[in-house]
Amino acid sequence: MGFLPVDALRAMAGTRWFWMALLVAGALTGTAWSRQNPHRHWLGVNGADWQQMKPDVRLAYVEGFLAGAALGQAATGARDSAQVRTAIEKLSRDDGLRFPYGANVYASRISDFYWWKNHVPLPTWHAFLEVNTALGRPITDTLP
Amino acid sequence: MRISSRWWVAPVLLAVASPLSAQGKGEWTTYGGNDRNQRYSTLNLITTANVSQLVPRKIFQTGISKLGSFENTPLVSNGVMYVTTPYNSAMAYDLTTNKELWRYEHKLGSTIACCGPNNRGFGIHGGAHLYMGTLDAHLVALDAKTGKVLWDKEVADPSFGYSITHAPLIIGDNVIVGVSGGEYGIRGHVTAYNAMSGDQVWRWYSIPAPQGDPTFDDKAPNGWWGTWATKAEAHDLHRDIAKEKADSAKYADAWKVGGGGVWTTPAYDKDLNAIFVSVGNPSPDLDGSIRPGDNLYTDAVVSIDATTGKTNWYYQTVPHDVWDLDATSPPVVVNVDGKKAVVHAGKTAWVYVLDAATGKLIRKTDNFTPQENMFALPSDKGTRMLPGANGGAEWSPIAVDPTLGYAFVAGLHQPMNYITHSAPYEKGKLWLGSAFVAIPGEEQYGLYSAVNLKTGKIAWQNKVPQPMMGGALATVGGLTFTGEGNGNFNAYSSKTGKLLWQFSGGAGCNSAPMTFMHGGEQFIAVACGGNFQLSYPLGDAVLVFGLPKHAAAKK
Repeated sequence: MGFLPVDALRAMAGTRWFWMALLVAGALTGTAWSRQNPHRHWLGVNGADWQQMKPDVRLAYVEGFLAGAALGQAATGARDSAQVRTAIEKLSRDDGLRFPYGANVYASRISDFYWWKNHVPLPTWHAFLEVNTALGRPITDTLP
Repeated sequence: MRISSRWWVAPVLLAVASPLSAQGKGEWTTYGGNDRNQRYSTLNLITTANVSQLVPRKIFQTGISKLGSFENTPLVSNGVMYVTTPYNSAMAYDLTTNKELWRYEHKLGSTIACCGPNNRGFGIHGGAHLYMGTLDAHLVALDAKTGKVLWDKEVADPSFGYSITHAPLIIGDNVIVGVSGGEYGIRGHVTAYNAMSGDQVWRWYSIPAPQGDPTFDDKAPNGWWGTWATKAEAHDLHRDIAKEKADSAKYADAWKVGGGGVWTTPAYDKDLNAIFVSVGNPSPDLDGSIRPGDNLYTDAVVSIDATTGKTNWYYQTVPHDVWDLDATSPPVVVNVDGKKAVVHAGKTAWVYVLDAATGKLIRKTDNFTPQENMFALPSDKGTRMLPGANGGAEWSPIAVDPTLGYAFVAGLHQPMNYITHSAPYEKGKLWLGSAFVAIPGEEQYGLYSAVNLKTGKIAWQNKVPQPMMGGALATVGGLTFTGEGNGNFNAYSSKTGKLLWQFSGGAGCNSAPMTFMHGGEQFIAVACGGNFQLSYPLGDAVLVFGLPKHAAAKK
């Protein structure tokens, strides 16, 4: 069991890709989630909301996050959509995605994450980071 | 898929030796010693009378660059030993010259494995072709003479959490392989592949689908929801069935990611033409509220028709598991009181003796490690529970001496608290915690037990300093062998449990031993490379013991 360094979190929060990923993920996941809870802003979705989601909604939510994160990562430094496409294909092929596993992997581990009552208030994006680190894929990027 | 033309011809020319006849030649050609997984050898040159003279005769240093839990049981065929290592390297050693013949290193793609980069061994077909499951969920066929790849199939998408750690089982011309990944929302399965072509013959899903789905299994008419069992035999599971039923529609799709890895080598019985598998935990591991129902066939021993891949019967040891007390140790087929039985050592610390034809429980033995608060629910303050998170017996294969009717079980005693809410969250600090938390100051230890399958009683028990993970071997010479995390490798009298011989292997001997004949001598081999999960010292060597050369020559 390791720790996600505070410095790394700060550094992540300062990166362009991180916020882009959150924005895109939010847009994508918001659609599925809003069908169930139209009043909750995506950035505030936490464990309590997660526990209300049906399994198919959870998977859709995770897939949206993964797509957004991949897009945000690929878009860093790209000048146009063609470069984004090339980058995202290369990242996928080279096992370079920051969130590289299937939606079911994250959905299952996030469910276990929120099984702990003290995790329930935490936002889902935080759960993604924690689970990814536990799976041996910590976010290690520095500022672009 | 790559298939050379020579590859197609080879199986036609081969006389496919059965594992039983292989054992007659003194070979060890399946993970469990024979199809029935008994790990019982009829080789009789090493006995209770001379075991004290055993010495190391060879040490094969695999020389791998990355260490991990070394869980391999080597195979021996045609004077060659075949070894697999963590991270899916493999090598062949000539037992006459002691030279390495070839080495294969699987180029791993994306991998995710809950419990380390493990591999437990090869399957071998006709003495000529080897099969290894990989951490990126491939099944690789190798030429036994050269180590060259004959074909390489992706069994399942590793990015979805699938991996393979167990040794495949060969039944006729089929290679049988399951998948790991119960921690990651997989839908587990067992697949038969044609040994020559790599084509899929059948696939059996360990999570039965509801009616209407193409993979519906008529032995589970209510899908994975099962029969809403409230007890595991006589023990209350503390389920809220009304709530589970009320939530069923909400979680109607949970079966699709229900877990149920099959991550240890199955057993096979030729007369029944049945494969017996142990099925792992449901997914997610801890949160049972989002997977209403019994969660079939998780935590179950299941009989599968070897020709069709259809379910014959199942016996679920723990319905709706929220303790990770899944069925992991490989099942064994053995006659008990004249009846063919399937024997499984559970994480629950009981040995289950099942009728091999029907799956009916013949008996549940006395517990082989201490039990407390079985199937209690977690609490904020913590519920003290035994067995702990690793169970009474983990993946370690048992050995069975059919003449005594004893099963030899490597057990773990790890008192733990089952806690729902044990630590405050700190910003920026990773804290996934664990459902089970070791209790400070409480002793942990291992128990090596002989369990009488005919009476259900514990025949004898030996305490060792550390929880045991690795496995057992029994021989007609009246001996049973097992290893310890501290590096000790032990031989006991099968009948009395008396320690007759011990060798310090350096790194933890945390794998299941095997035995074979070569050059007219009997040898005992064990991989001593430690265990990552239990922090036992790691290494990379296979130790091979025999009688001293002069003693062997007198024979």
